Amino acid sequence: MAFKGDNDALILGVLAERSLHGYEISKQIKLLSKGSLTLPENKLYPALHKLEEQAMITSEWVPQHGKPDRKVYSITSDGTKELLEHRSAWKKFVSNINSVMMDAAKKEAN
Amino acid sequence: MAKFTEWYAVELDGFLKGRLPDVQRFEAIKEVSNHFSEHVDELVERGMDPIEAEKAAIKSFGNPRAAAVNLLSGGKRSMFGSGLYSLAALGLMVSIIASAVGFQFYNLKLAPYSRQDFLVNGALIFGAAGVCAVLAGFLSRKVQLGKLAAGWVLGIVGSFGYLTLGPERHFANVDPANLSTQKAKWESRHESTVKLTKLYGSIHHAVSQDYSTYRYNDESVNTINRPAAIEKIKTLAPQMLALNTPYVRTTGSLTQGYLVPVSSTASYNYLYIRRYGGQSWQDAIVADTGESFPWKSVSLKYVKSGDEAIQGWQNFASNNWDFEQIGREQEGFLREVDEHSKKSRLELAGSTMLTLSGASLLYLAIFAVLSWIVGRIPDLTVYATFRRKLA
Repeated sequence: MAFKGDNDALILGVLAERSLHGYEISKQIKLLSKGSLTLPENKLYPALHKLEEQAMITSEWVPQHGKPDRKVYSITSDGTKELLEHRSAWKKFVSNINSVMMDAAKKEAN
Repeated sequence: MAKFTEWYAVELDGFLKGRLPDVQRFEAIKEVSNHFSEHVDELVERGMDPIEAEKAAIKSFGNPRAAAVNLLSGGKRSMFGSGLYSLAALGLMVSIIASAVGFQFYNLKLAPYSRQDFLVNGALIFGAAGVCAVLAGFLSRKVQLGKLAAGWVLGIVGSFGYLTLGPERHFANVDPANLSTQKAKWESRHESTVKLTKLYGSIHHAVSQDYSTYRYNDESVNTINRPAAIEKIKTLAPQMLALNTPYVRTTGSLTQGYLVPVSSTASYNYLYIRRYGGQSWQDAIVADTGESFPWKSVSLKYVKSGDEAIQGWQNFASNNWDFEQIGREQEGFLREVDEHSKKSRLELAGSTMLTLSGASLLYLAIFAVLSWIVGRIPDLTVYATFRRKLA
């Protein structure tokens, strides 16, 4: 099974932990993936806007002391359901890949 | 503070203007600015020079055009772009459709439409659409200016090419623009006269004299069109008699004139109705034709009644003309004209539709290719400014 919508899944994944603003989301993805995953910055916001339009996430402008307001995103219940589906799809995808890769490795070992 | 990122925001805003609803645009710009702010702060905290940090943040985010494209592809686009852009596009469409429709009307004679009208209206419509397009392009973005100007030029070139190489040229021998007038001519004195004079040498003189009056009045045709002549005489004769004068006063194009049934003993027996400008009829004819002879030598017999005029004319005509033959010939002419006209119109309509369809597809293809090319050319003016500032 193919795993689609990886950017959306990554965003939903980091937002499941806590509400974040755009730059933090980008940073968090990089941090959690130990630098192996980088969401192009100029694609982050379109993806966020799309998810917001699909009611997967919601946003609010949060005032900051001495700084301009910033937009903070939070996952919604629809987004959580979507994330679960993504996780399930990812598990199946990994499982399928493992089956192929590991079976091949076992055969090679034998 | 934050010069470069501010400039970036301005550039980005320029790309988004007219393409995103204002609220979304402002939010997007604000969000991107915050992003830069966070990124720059972080880099500065790590010890980077603020200016270098800004540059690094911008580099990381990508150029403003790419960012705008991504934002537009992810967010809600405004349905029709800016109002001016829509107006320009609408103007261009209307101009092309109006020209095409106008041209068809002109060719097929579906409505009165002269070539001059078409060209003048076409120029006005295209001019207006073009100005509109250029204005819109200028006020929105330079890239659209290129696209709209290209579309406008293509429309003009294509339409004039269509006019030049289209069905009119193809049917040069048919002269489709004059189908109706051609038919009218064939039905009237010119073709009939030529045909009749060939058939009836004996009446050549009478008919040709009648034909020579073509430029003076419409009534001369009545000598060929017998029923109409009779009706006209019936109309005019009583008025003339009522006035007890050879003048005939009517409304319409025949404001003044003579009803002149000629003596059957004269050499030039015919019925002659002409406009009269206050001169004696002989002087008027001489002035009009420049001929002193034979007009002055014609002996006249004023009619006492419409019936007498008709009778005198019929007597003359029946002795000289074979009306049955003339009738058959005229029917033949009309049939021929009808068939020719119908066939030409169908051919013309078919060819026009094909040409128009082909031309439209061609315009579409060229416009698509051109748009694709123009879309890939960076807005050099904007980038040059931006890069200069960044450097």
